[in-house]
Amino acid sequence: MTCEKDIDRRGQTAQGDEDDGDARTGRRGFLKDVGKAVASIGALAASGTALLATKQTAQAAAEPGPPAIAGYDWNEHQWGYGIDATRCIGCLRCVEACKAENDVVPTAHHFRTWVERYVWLEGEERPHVDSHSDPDNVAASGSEKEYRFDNRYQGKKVYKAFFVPKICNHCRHPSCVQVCPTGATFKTKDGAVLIDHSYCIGCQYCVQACPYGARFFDPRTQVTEKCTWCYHRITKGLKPACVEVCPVNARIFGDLNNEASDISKFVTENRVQVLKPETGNAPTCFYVGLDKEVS
Amino acid sequence: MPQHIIRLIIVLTVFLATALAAKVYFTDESFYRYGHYRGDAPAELAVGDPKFRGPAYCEKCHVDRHVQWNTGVHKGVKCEVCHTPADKHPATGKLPIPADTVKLCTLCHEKMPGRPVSQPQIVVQDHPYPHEDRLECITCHNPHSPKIGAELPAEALAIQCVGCHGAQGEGVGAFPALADKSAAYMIEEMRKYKSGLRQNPMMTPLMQGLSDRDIEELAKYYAAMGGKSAAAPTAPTPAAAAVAQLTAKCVGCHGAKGEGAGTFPPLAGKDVDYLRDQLANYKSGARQNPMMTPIAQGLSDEDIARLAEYYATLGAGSASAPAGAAPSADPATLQLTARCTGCHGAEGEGMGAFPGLAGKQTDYLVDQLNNYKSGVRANPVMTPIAKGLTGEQIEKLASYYSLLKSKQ
Ligand code: HEC
Ligand code: HEC
Ligand code: HEC
Ligand code: HEC
Ligand code: HEC
Repeated sequence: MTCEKDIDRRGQTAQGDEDDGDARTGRRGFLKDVGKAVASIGALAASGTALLATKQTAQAAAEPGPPAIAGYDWNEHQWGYGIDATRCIGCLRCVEACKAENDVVPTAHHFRTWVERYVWLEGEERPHVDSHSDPDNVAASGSEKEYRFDNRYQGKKVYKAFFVPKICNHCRHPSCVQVCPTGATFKTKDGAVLIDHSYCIGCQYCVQACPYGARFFDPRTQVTEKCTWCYHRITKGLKPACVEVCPVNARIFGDLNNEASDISKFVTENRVQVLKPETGNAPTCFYVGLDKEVS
Repeated sequence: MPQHIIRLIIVLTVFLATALAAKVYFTDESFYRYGHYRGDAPAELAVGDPKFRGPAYCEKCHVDRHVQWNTGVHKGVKCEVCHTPADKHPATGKLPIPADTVKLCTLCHEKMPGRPVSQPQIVVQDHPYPHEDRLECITCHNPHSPKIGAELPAEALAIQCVGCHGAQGEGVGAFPALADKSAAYMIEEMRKYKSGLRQNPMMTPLMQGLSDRDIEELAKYYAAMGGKSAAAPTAPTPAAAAVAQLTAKCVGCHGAKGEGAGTFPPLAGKDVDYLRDQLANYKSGARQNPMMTPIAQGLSDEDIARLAEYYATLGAGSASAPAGAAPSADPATLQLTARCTGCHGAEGEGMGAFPGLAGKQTDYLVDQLNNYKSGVRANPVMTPIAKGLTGEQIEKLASYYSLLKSKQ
């Protein structure tokens, strides 16, 4: 559509030139000829696009119903995710649940969702930030497949500390989708950003493009991986595994179309924030309780 | 048109035609159905059986566990967090029962910076009293309904008693032995404390926090201990025999060996002159104490000399040396600590069920005192004490104890 508009405007400009009435031979005449040519090509292109567009709308009207998912119509839902960082106790049950539910690579380096710990010690300006992939935390859990935060600040004077769960933001304007060369990653009608593994060529442009570090390369399958909001669960009326297991309701999931849903209430009853709003990605993962240093 | 241009056009056309054919051939039919992606992909990604089945699923077969869990404080902790995802269970076998509950429970309950205060947290070594050995959390807590309530085994309830009555109910200092009493007697006495017929600032609130069932269980528990506690008393030394009659007035508070207990200072091994002077001071009124003054007034100068000599010669073996130089504190704060030392020890070192305070973080102590004060944390002994403290007093006490050296 934008393209069509541009062409229209260009056509008009050429028209305006003619109205000048200063038509003679020489350089000006040549320019005029070029103008005409551009105008006619523009008109041709415009009609071409229009034709294509009508064909497409005809197609849309005729055909694509929602994807063939039993008992589920994606036009009825607009999913959203909420995180109340003030409630998180850093137990990492969400991380383990995600790995189990989605068969994520069982190492301490590949996560679809993770939790960060921010700790300011007295007299220090910058926070210490660590997550469960930190070697000391892996050692405390005793295995790459189990996750826990070690109690490393015992006996230190802690000025301030909190946990921040992180996950794919399922952005409204996802930069990962923009850079994908094959159409392997896409945004669904109900709001999820997914990856079609059969089309992914493993180029990892999207891993680079994501401002939140939510994607990773799966060494087993040689394709890119990320959170799907447990698409196989939410299309069956269940909550994502991380939300299901959170013992303190720090993670909230629901339908933004439904005013009575947990997520709608979370967004309307709290003052929510998103991570890195300046990127223009427009996340649909809303936070309560972020601090100035968290990004 | 020149030949080479024509050739070029032919090559380009062939190339374009092949590319177009390839695109038509290789692009999935469903591509562009909804946008620049394969239209079949969303439905494919929606395939798959959820592995976390949710508590409602477990309820079908494990009704009893579910009821317990559903009515308890662990309702937010889903079954599969502790038992791993059910997936195809029971078809695929039993689900595991967590073996190492200390590891499991501390995931959520270990005291750690960053955890919100609303989350119940414990310092593992100090819970429920300072100890070295690892007790599985489920010895005292039911994992499906962990809040300590009416249905606790006597062993767990007795944790509240050991600090004063001794680990075997043998009694120490002013605290009577329980192991040598009959169950019926103890039930009666405990009910009296509960109803107010018998009054004692320490026993009354404790008993009011216990149900009749708890009281019976505890009485039976201690009655069954009878005999076990009888640690053979050491034969009295000649000197002790001579003053036995006199020391009977002291042991109740200062302990059988003058080792002291709680607020009651140790006497054993102290300087003879010092002890004699202090007793004389109590007698003359130069030093005042509601308990000591009348006792000292009943002693002759000779008695005083004998007692001083006796305690001075008793080894200081059992008497603990102070943990570290007490930090300088203003008299007002020291006066406040008098409300704490009876249970938490003169140096805040803690004893029995009473947690140590020395060396704990100021913030932590302030939070906990405020929690008791506001009722967020409830304890029959601590709540009334904390309610009597102002915010300023709480801060003073917290900073005083945080500066004392921990003995651990
Ligand atoms: C369809 C019935 C059924 C459902 C639903 C079910 N279980 Fe079971 N469960 C069983 C049976 C049968 C056993 C095996 C009992 C045995 O062999 O002693 C079992 C065993 C167990 C055990 C081991 C008990 C032991 O003594 O070793 C645990 C733990 C358990 N289930 C937890 C769960 C949880 C958690 C859920 C829900 C996610 C669940 N079960 C759902 C039927 C069920
Ligand atoms: C906080 C962790 C936790 C949660 C939550 C939990 N359990 Fe358990 N469960 C345990 C532990 C620990 C044991 C072992 C208890 C014991 O040995 O006394 C156990 C034992 C069991 C057993 C075996 C009982 C037996 O004696 O044979 C079953 C069945 C069971 N749980 C089912 C459930 C169900 C159903 C739920 C959810 C409604 C649930 N559990 C929630 C920790 C948990
Ligand atoms: C996944 C996190 C998690 C695990 C694992 C867990 N708990 Fe809890 N526990 C909680 C939450 C959340 C509460 C409720 C807190 C509240 O009431 O706000 C709680 C409450 C409690 C309480 C009640 C505290 C009070 O006085 O209100 C006790 C006691 C307790 N848990 C003991 C245990 C024991 C023992 C285990 C191990 C068998 C255990 N918990 C495992 C999260 C957990
Ligand atoms: C010997 C018995 C015993 C053992 C073992 C024990 N507890 Fe407790 N626990 C208690 C008692 C008694 C209370 C209640 C004290 C109170 O209300 O202040 C309690 C209270 C708690 C609370 C609530 C504290 C609060 O501030 O509200 C938590 C959480 C808890 N226990 C967790 C655990 C965990 C985790 C373990 C294992 C590492 C454990 N307990 C082992 C006896 C025990
Ligand atoms: C803070 C210290 C303290 C704690 C804790 C404590 N007691 Fe006592 N208890 C005392 C004192 C002091 C007396 C004697 C008071 C008096 O003379 O009335 C006493 C008296 C008793 C008596 C009466 C003994 C007699 O000879 O008449 C019984 C029974 C008793 N306690 C049981 C318990 C039980 C059971 C618990 C644990 C639930 C407990 N006490 C916890 C300090 C304590």
